[in-house]
Amino acid sequence: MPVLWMVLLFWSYPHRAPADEASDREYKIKAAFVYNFMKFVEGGRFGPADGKARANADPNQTIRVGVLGTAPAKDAFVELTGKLVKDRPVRVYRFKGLAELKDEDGKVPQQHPALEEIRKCHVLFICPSERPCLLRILPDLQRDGILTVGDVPDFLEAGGIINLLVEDKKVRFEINLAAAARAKLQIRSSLLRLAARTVEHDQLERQNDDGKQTGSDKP
Amino acid sequence: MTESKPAATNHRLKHEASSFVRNLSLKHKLVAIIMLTCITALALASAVFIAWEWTTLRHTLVQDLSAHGEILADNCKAAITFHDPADASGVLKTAGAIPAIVAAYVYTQDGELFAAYTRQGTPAVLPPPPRELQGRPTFQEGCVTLDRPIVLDGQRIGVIRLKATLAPMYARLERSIVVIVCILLLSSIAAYLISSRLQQIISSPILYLAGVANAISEKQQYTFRVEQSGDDEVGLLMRAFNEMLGQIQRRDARLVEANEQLEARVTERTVELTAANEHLMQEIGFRKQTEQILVQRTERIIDHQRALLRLTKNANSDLPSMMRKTTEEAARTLAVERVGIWFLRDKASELLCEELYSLSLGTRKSGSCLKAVDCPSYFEAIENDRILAIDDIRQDARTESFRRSYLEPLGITSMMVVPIRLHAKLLGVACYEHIGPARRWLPEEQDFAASVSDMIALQVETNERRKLERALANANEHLAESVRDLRRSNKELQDFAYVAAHDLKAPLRGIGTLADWIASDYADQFDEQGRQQLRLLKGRVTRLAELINGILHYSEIGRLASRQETVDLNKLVPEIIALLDPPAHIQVVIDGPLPTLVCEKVRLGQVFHNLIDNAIKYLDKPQGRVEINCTEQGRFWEFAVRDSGPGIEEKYFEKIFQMFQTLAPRDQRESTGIGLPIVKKIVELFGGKVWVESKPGEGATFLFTLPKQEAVIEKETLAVAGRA
Repeated sequence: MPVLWMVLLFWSYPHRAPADEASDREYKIKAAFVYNFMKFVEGGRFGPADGKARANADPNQTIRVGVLGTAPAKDAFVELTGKLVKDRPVRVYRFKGLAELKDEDGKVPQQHPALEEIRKCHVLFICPSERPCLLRILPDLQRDGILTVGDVPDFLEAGGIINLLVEDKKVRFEINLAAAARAKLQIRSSLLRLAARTVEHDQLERQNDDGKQTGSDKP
Repeated sequence: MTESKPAATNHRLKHEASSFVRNLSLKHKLVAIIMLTCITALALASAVFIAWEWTTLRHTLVQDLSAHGEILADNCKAAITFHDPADASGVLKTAGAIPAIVAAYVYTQDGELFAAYTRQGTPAVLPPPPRELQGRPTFQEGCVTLDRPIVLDGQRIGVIRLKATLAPMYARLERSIVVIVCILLLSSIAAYLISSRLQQIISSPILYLAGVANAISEKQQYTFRVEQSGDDEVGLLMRAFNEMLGQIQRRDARLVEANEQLEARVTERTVELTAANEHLMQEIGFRKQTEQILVQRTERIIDHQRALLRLTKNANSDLPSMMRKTTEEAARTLAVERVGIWFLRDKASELLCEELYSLSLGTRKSGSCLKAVDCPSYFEAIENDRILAIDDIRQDARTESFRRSYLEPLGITSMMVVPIRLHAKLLGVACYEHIGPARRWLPEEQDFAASVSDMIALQVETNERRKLERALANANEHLAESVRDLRRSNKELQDFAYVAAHDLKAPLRGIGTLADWIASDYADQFDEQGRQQLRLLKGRVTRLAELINGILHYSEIGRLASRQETVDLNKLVPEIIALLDPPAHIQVVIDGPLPTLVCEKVRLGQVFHNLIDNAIKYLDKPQGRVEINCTEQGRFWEFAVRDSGPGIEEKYFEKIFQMFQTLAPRDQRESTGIGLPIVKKIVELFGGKVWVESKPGEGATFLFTLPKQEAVIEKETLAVAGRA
């Protein structure tokens, strides 16, 4: 199946309109990247990488992939459902973005209503549509061991772990090591080597530091 | 042949090699064996070691390569997954740290080259992408190639291929071989040095033993003994050798003794043999002599045979000339002075000399006479004995009577008298008289003389027979002449009878006609007596005519031969009976079936006609019966005609078959007397015979036979003959 998938990845949909087609392709690749990231991430909910742990893992326990917000190509992630990661099936869950959940006044809610559900996810892809609300979402999830993947330029600074970007018409990615450490996830060196950029400090870290200081100050 | 030649050469070489090995000294053999063993063991160990080294090196190389491949594959996973060939190339470059690896390639799952590394200085030849993943390394062109899969999360996502050169491995192997060869050489030298020292322990006592044995056999001195060195097998051998030497010594002494005895015996034997040889030589001489005698005898016999053969050639001449030649030949052959032939005369009362030949004078004479009365013992001897061989007349009683009167005056000393006998009857004697020293008559000479006598007897017999033959021939000639005369006169008589009968017929017919005329013309002028006489006249004329006809018939039989034909008597005889028309009181009966014959029909009919006619004619009873039947008698048919007439007396049995003979007065029966002669003549002409059986008053039976084989042929046989 992966072969077919790769083939689809590079040569599908020649009949679509050029703009649509480019977008479709891009998102298909991005979905594939998200899927593959899971293979190079260990620790936390993904469990240790060694074979023993994998054997102990419950094969019925699904890998939950959450998609937050509106993706430009809606079906790209749906196709991940049913694939296997570390012998566990993948299931895709969609969540409305905070941007969509604005009330009549145009106010964004402080907390996502389905936050508990979101917290059960292993991976959360945050669509570009959520760009304005990043700072409301990410801090709530930073210590839950969720691999957050984003698609906006300042995602890492906002506290996301992996960000996808397009460089020279190629999809690439960058990694926030601090965020990964917070989420207790270990990213394999081979993946790190491929990253276009790695970030060791981010905004949230500073905020936390500040928070700690204030917190310590408070009592 | 082309194949066997090299084979033969090979065999010879092998043979030479093996003989060379056999002839090698014991110590060299020992050293060679030890060396061969050592070197073989070392070489085997080395070979095994090198093979092991080679296998191990290869295995290590492959394992190293496999481990490197595993690491590289792991490092390439992400690059392939996220499609970053540059990173993969970087990973592959790390392989350059391992000197053996000359090239490394990464292929995607589709078989496309993803990243490549080739060491500098090696050609960057891109191998074809692997279709099927080969689990095992492939060795070629001094390189080993190994493919490893790149697996991510249980899924194969690509292949890594590593290529390593085998050069370092070869170099290491080479070093190992050099070291091993050095070790081999050093070990061999050490083995040689040690074995050449240590072999003396075994070889020296054996060589010593061999030297002693050689010395003994050369000098034939069995008094030597070996010094025993130890108690091992060689020691045992030495002890046994010493014992053997002792035995040989004893045996040698005995042998010498036996030899002397043998020589004595040989000498003894030689003397015996010489004696036997002399005896044999004597015997051979005697045999040769005998043989010579035999040869002479054989020659003499041959001479005799030749002489006899010469005499045989004269067998056709007359007796006197034969006797002349015989005496001459016999005298010459036997070398006897006087040879004479004497014949008995006057009822064996005297011997008359017919011929006497003298060899030295070449003269003959005859006429001497010897009377039986004068010398009875001599006559008795020639009558009874086969041969009188008298070697010395002075000591013989049989010739005593005429010794002084006849033999001694002539100087006769030895004498041989051989009787001449013909069918055991003594005719005379052949006499051989020898003058000079007394002579012994040899058996073969006696045989020859006997043969000569036999020849003379034969000649006498021949002469007699010739005389008889001549007389017989004369008699035969006379007889033939008489037969010719008889036949001629018979023929003339027959012709005369025929002609006469024939010529008589015409005047007789005239007489008959005249008598008729007279009877008719002058009937009224004759009285009763005249008419009676005229009737008589006519009757006589008729009888005469019949007589003449009978004679004609008779004479015709045998003159003309008529056709032979198949005659069925069952048909012919009833026809004849019908023709004769017998009177009512006479019954003619055919008793039983009659055969069918092949003959002249008319003549056979004549026979039956005459016989039945006779039977009817002479039947004087109021009721008469004539029976005809036929029986088989061997090769003949026997026919019988039986009547119940007056019968015939036996004395007439012959007469009735003669011409013109009748038993009844002519006037009583109109009979010509020629019927039965005709029957007789025909039956005899056919090869049968005719006769009569009768008693007066009891009827008569006329019987005749006809041969079966010629005249009688069954119908079937005829049919078969006709078809053939």
